[in-house]
Amino acid sequence: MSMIRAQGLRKTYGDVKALDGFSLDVQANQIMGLIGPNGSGKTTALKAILGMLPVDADALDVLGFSPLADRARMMQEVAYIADTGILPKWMRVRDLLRFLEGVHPKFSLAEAQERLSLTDIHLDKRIGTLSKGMHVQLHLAVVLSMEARLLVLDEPTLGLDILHRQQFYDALLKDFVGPERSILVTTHEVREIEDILSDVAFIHRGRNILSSPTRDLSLRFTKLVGAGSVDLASRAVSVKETGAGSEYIFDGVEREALRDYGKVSTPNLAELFVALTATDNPT
Amino acid sequence: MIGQCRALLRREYLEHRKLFLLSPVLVLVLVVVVGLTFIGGSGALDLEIWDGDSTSRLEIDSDGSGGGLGKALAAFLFDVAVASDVELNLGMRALMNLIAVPFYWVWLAVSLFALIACLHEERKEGSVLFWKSMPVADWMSVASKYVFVAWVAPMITIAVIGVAQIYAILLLVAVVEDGAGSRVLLNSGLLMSLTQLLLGYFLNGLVVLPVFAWVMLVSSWAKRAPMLWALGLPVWLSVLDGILLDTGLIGRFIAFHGSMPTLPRTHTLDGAGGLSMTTTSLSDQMGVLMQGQFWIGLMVGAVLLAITVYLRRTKNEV
Repeated sequence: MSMIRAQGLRKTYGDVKALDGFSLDVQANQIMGLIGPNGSGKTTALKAILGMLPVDADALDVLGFSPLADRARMMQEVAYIADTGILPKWMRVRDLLRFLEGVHPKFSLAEAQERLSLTDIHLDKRIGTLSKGMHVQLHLAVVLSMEARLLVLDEPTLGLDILHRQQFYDALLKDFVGPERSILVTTHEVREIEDILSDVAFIHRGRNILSSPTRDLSLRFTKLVGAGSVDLASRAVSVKETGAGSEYIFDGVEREALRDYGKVSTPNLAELFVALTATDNPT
Repeated sequence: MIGQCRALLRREYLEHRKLFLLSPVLVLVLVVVVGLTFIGGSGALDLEIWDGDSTSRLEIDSDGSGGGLGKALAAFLFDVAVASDVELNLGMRALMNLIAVPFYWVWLAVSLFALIACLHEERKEGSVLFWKSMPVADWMSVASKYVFVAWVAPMITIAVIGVAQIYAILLLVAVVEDGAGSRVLLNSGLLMSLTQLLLGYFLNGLVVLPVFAWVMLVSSWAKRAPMLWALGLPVWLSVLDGILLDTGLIGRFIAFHGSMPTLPRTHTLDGAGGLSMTTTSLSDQMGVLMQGQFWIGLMVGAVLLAITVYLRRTKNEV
């Protein structure tokens, strides 16, 4: 089942193309990582998918809804956590929960209170007085109590220490991932989520430079670290000099053909991302 | 839908309660202080009250020797023994209105302040992304902000005005001659005043629509200094109109829609028969509906609100 079908998204700000034909396809049960450098169009794409920004598109469909036209109905099934603390700082936690109970038909007040009882967040606290970690904890507790089918996360752990980041993703895997549910997540900390992603999409200059299930990456891409010259070097998508020798990333080259030149392995997402964005840079 | 509306209005109340509770209470404190000065001093009162059209001077001496509106009022209030019930009732209603007028202006100022901030602040602090991640249509979010300021917050103001009016009635009962207190109570006009306030604020919510909707539009659109845009642009257009066309249309439009013409007031008439008073009647209040400006304002306001909803839907940052 298709959760997100976005084809040919286009958005310009003056002369700047924030999205230049970007496409994304998220199916049920996928955890899709949307990875790109600052200013690549990630957040613009997410806002378009969430119906918060008008964009031109060949097709844009989220859970069967047109995001901009049907945002209110769509958001009964979709939850969103942004990179900055977006919960209203003037509100008390208790009032936030009551508000959600009033406006969200699938929000469970009892469940949210139970989740918060496991944290140090008191219901009478004003949200503005919570630490960054607590703020994210609160937002996560809230969205996990909404029975959403699609969770959109835009750099959700930005500014958190490693402990809170780990707790965040642990809670996500434990309490959200399930049948007919999907996650779309963007983050700079690629290594942290690499193991939980089922699919990945790289975005650069508003365009796709890679879309693939993560399990297929090892079949397609190969990292070679070798000391000598490599006959196939011209077929490498990137070459980098390291202390251990030259590091090549190959796309679609038989791994067996490379073994004679050095140590071969599967590049991690960060290495692949750097290699592909370097290739996409204008010369 | 009803549950969502209730939650949205409660949200507005929580965000603005300090403004809308504290401001009328501060005016109430002033009324109490003025009343105590009146009763604790020589029994004289000298006030200037701006009622929107002109400044009414309220001078009350216990012997009825004041001037202006006060003279007219004092004639009713301090000659209880000789005043008829009709005269006393008119005098009391005039006093009720005079007490209410400062609350109108404070409510208007606070409302403009709240509305100018409402859509700008949520973009500035980023919480607009959270509100928009809720299953709530933009038109409902915008409408709830308007409904709260135009019709819910005035309930607080009316309640505090009621307290101030009861306080004034009790003060008068205390200072009038023996036996006349019951006549003051019976002819206090309190219920009529509160009825007129309810009707007046309900209608005013419609009259003020183009002014409030303009302020909300600016709040949803301006990157910075929304107050300057909200106030500056109409003033600039008005001045430009004065220089180039001299129609005075813009100025009159703003004056009509911003002067709360449906709220009950007291006016003095200096005619051939001497000084007399009139108070806004229910038919005066309803009469606003017959004016073309009212309906033009509704249409202009509806267009401005529609633009505000569109901007709320498409803009996320300042």
